[in-house]
Amino acid sequence: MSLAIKAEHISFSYAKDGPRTLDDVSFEIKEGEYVALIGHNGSGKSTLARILAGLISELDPNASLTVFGMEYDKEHSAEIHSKIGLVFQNPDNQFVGATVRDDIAFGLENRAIDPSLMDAIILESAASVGMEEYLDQAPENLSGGQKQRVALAGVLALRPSLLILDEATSMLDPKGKREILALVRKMRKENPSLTVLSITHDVEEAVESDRVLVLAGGKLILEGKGEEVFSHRELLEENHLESPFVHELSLALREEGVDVEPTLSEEGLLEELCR
Amino acid sequence: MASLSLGRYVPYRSPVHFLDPRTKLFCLVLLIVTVFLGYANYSTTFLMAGVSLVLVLAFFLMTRMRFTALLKSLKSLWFMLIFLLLIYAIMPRSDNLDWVAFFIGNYPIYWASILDALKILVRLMLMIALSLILTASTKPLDLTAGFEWYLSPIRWLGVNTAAWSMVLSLALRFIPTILVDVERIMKAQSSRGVDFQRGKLSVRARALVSLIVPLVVSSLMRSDELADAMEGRGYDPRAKRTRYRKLAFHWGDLIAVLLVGAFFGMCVAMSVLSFDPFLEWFQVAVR
Amino acid sequence: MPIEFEKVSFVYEPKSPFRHDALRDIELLIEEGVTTAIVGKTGSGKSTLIQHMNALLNPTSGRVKVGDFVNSSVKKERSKDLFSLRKKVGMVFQFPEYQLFEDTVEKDVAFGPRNFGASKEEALKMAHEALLRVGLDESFFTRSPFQLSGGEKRKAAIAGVLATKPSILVLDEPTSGLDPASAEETMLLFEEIKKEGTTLILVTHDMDLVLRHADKVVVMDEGKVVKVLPPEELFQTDLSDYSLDMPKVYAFARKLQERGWQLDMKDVRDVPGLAKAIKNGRRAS
Repeated sequence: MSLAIKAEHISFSYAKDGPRTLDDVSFEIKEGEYVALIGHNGSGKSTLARILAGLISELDPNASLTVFGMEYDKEHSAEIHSKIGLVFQNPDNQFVGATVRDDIAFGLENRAIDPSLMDAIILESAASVGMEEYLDQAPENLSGGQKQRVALAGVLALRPSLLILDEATSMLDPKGKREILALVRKMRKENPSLTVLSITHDVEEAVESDRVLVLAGGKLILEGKGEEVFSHRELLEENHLESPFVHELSLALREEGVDVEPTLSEEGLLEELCR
Repeated sequence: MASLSLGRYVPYRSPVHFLDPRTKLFCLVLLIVTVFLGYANYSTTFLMAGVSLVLVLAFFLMTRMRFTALLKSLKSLWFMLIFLLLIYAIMPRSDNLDWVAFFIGNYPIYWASILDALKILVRLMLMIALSLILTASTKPLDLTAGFEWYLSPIRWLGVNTAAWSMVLSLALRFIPTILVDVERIMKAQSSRGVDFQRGKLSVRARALVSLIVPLVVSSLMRSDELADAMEGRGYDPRAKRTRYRKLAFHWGDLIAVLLVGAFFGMCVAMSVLSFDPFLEWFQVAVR
Repeated sequence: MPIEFEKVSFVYEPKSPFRHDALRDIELLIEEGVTTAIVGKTGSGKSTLIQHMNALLNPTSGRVKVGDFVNSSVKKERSKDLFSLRKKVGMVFQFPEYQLFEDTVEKDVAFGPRNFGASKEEALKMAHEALLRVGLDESFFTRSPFQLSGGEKRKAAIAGVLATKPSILVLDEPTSGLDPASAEETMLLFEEIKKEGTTLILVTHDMDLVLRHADKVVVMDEGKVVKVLPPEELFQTDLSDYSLDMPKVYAFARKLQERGWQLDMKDVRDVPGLAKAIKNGRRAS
């Protein structure tokens, strides 16, 4: 399988000679993979998201960043951008249009898509996030969760190959959170080649992913399957992170002398307990 | 926030709503010029004002706007009106010296002054009513598109009109969001003992700072994030973009422009020729 | 200081097409020393309710009594001394870091005490105390609040509310946007403050927080108080009508119970508690 992202020696500081927000970060993400990047507040995870999105382009000379096999440089940046869809944290601050319809159209206009095709695309992508009845609503009449769904629709309309969720659910209530995660699951099901990078401090989101990257103090400290990563409890705690609930529970049960394997899978733990 | 419902777009299907925003902007300019035309004498001026008023009221009915909306908007202007009346009343005049309405002490107040003030009042009211009709019947987005179209000639001077129109529509989009911020910050600071209503000047200045600084900070943060989001979605002010919303002229627009144009022409002719209908009709009647 | 709601209703924009009944006939007693959680879906009236507690809103009908202070729909009945009410009822709004505005952290925290009549020196002393309390040491006192990290900003803002030593503290989603460790730290701080005699009122969507910290839960739905009960009782009932979540431990326990397990959930508030309950539980054969 080919690589969606290949990042090598990514370092970055906002001020010249200032503290490094990112310090020699290297990782790979395969096409079609769902990767969760977790880290505490200020770990550098949002900076990494901004670099991947091309919002920061001045990288360390040693750094190398390849997206879908293309070097992230001036020549390719437009083509790379057209493959990446971004959803940010604050639902209000990414709603550009005056109505849902106009907001979804915004991305299409930027790609200079023929206006006569837009209505169909807008309707289709709004429907896929369940917002087709709100097309003419203004953002102030929508809930945070609904606005994030519109943001997702705006991204979907552009058919990205890589979806980056930058704390996309952190300002939502539990219902809104669940809806967004369910939509992402649905999108992956419909399009298995879609690569998803979810940047979050909600470890429960990491449970759904194929692989987990842990960023702390600008460094990549852990990488691997969820079970593997969350087995390093002390290291995670030192870095202000916790384990997902099911994992915590399986460990607590072992401490109580109940014979279960450490796991991230709720279904697995339930079955084990009922055996 | 009730006062803000004023001048807000009212979704309704009316012939005025249907017109192209460019048509409406053009007609608005013509009608405002008409309202401010000078005529032969007071009676003609007020007659024409009456005709305009009938027109405006017809538009009001058509757009299903409530007259209370107009009255409300005038309420915020009444201070200015009183001020105008005073200025006109006090100003010494050289004409119509014989036509004194009454004296304040020894100082004469002329009928002409009162009529002039009244004239200004009527004109302002008509202008406000016309603008209200425009904003109530046109989505902000369409309005910006209309403005952009009129500004398009200056594109040849190297001005990026599309970018400016984007700025304008973003400003409109974020007004409600920022008002929510204002309310939130005021509540938080009130809970910390700030009184926004009363207090000495220095205390109130402090209260204002406690509102404005967080507001500016959060607005800057919003604009930063918005810029990221827009760039992330492929916005480039220099690149060629297509437009989802296309403005299109219809037959109705032509009719509207012709009617308003005819009215405008008639009024200009009357103004330039100093036509006095009362005198003319009187002569006709005598003959 | 108890808070009493007597037949309180509140209507937004009553005489307009945007009319919205946010509260309907609320009868509620919030006792002193009892941590009360107010839960309900977005738009159920929670935030309108808490804004009546320090008279940011006046009821459209009915009366709210906070100690001796009366916040009534009738102007004549309203107590005049808003300042002493707001001094006693501290409000930590959602994302409180957005209320910071002074050029130094200590000045910002001293802003509340200053408004409530403390002298400059007194206010600074109170500010320093509050800052140490939330875990921001001397090195933070004279820094600009805008140069702090997100978590530190949150702490400074909370210190700004704690500085006046309120006897009631209303917390609106106090942990939202924080990473798990900072959230835990923040809640520990509030627990300590509670031990010193401050009554906590917690508004949140996070049922894990409710289970862990609340003594009593007020469930709101469409502007009405529909239930007042202890959390362990609440989570035994069906919550889907009010679109509330289950705390994670209860959600898991329920799945075990569906598979025939018998669990004693009485004292279960966290993961180790659930592990114990599972160890002591049995499967009905």
